[in-house]
Amino acid sequence: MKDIFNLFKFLHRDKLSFLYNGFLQDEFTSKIIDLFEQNLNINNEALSVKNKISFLIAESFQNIVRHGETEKEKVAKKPGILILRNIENAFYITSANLIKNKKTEFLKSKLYQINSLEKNELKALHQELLKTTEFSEKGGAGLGLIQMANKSGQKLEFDFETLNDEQSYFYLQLKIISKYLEEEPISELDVVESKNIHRYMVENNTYLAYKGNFTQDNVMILLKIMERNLQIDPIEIKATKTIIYNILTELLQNISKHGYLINKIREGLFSIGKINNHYTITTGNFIQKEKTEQITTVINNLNKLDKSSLKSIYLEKIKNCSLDDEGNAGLGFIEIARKSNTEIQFQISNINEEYSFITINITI
Amino acid sequence: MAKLSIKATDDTPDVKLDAEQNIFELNGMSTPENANLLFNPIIEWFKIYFEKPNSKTVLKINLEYINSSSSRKIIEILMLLEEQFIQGKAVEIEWLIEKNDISMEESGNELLSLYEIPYKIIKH
Repeated sequence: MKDIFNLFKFLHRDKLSFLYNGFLQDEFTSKIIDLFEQNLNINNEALSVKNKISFLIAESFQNIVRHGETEKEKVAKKPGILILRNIENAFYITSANLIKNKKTEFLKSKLYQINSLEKNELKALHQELLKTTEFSEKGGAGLGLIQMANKSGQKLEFDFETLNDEQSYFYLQLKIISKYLEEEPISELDVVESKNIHRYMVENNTYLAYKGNFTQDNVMILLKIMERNLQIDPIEIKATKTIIYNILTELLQNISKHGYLINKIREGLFSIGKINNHYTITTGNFIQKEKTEQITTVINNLNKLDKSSLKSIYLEKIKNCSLDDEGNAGLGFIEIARKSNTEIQFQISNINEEYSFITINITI
Repeated sequence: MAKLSIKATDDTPDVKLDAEQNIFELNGMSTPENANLLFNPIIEWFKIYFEKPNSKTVLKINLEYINSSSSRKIIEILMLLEEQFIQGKAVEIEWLIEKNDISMEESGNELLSLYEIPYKIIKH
C-alpha cells in the first residue's frame, strides 16, 4: 500500500492522470475523453485544443486496435496501454501495444522520417497521402502516425521494450501544448516515465488509476468509466459488479466529500487492480490531521466486527440517524466493511501539521 | 394534485409521481452526493398525496445502484409509507432488480423487511 502513496508522489506534477492497462473499447474510451474535457477550463482552453486532445486519444486507441498484437492468437479485444497526463501546460497521450520484433526497424525509420519534417512538409505529406493512399487491410497505411504528428504539432516521442523473442512493446507519446499557457516554459516528459508506469501497473496488478481533483462530477465520470469497463470484463455475475460499483461509489464519494481541500482542490488517487478473480480497490487522499485519530478508531472498530454485527449496526444506524446538511449519513465505511471480503486496510502517512495522507485498500 | 416529474441525471433517477395516472416510480441510478436535494421533494410530495390517496398505492423502486445516503432517504420514505399502512391505507412496494443481481435483492430485502409494508421483489 505504500506503493500508492509513492505513485501519488511520482505523479506530483500532474493536474490529472489517467492510467490504463487492459482492454479498450469504443464506449469506454469515449468516457475517458469526457473526463479530460470535463477538466479543461472551458473559458481558457481554445476549442481547438480540446478537439485535438479528444481526437488524439481516440486515434491512439484506434492505433492499438488496428496494429496491436496479442500474446495469444486471434483474441477479439486488443490489450493496450493508455497513459494520459496533464502536466503543467501540456497534455501527454501515451499509448503502447505489442508489435512483432521484425517490424520495429521499419517503424523506427518511419518515425524518424516523420519527425524530420517541418510542419508545412508534414501537412503536405498528410494531404497527399489522404488523396492517394489505398487502404490496406488494417486501414492504417502509416497515415495514423502522420495524422498524429500533424495534429499534435509536436515531435512524436517513442520507445520500445522487448518482451520476448517474438514481440516488443511499442510506446508512442503525443504532446499537445495548452494554448492558454503557451507563453510559459513548457514541461518536458520522458517516454521512459510511461515505461515505469507500465511496469508499476504490472507489478502491482493495477489496471486502472486516476489521479486528480475529486469533484462529484469527476467521481461520476470515473464511475461511468468503471461501469463500462466492468461490462467488458468477462465476469458474468451481476452481483459482483454491483458490489464493486457500490464500494467504489462509497470510496470515491468519501474523498469528494471529506478529502482535505488544498487550494480549493481535493486531490487524490484511486486505483483498481485484479488478481485471480479478486479486485483490489485503493484510494489515497489528504485528510485533516485532527481527523486521523477518529478515522483510525472507526475503521479499527469496524474491522473487529463479524458480518452479522456489521449488519446490525448498519440497520440500527440507517433507521435512526438522519442526513446532515451536506447529505452525509455516516454509513459509508459500514457499507464498505460489509461488502468487502477482507478487513479494510489503511495507512496514514504524516505530511505536516495541517494534514496527512490516508490510503485505503479494499479487496472484493 | 400536481404531479412530480424529475428527469434522470448521471447520478439521480427518473422520478414519476402522478396520482391521476396512478404511477409512482423511481427508475435509474441513485448516487447523488447530497441525497436530501433529490429525496426531500419526493417525501414532501407523498405527505400531501396521502391526505387524499388513491384506493391503492404501489411504489415501484427500480434502482441500479444506491449509495449510502440514498439508502437513508429511502428509509425515510418507507417510514412514511408504513405510517400510512398502519392507518389502514393500501400501500405496496415493488423492488425491481436485474435477474442475477443478488446484491440488490439482498439490499431490497434488508431495507424493506424493516417495515410492515407488503412488498415484492421483481426480477426483470
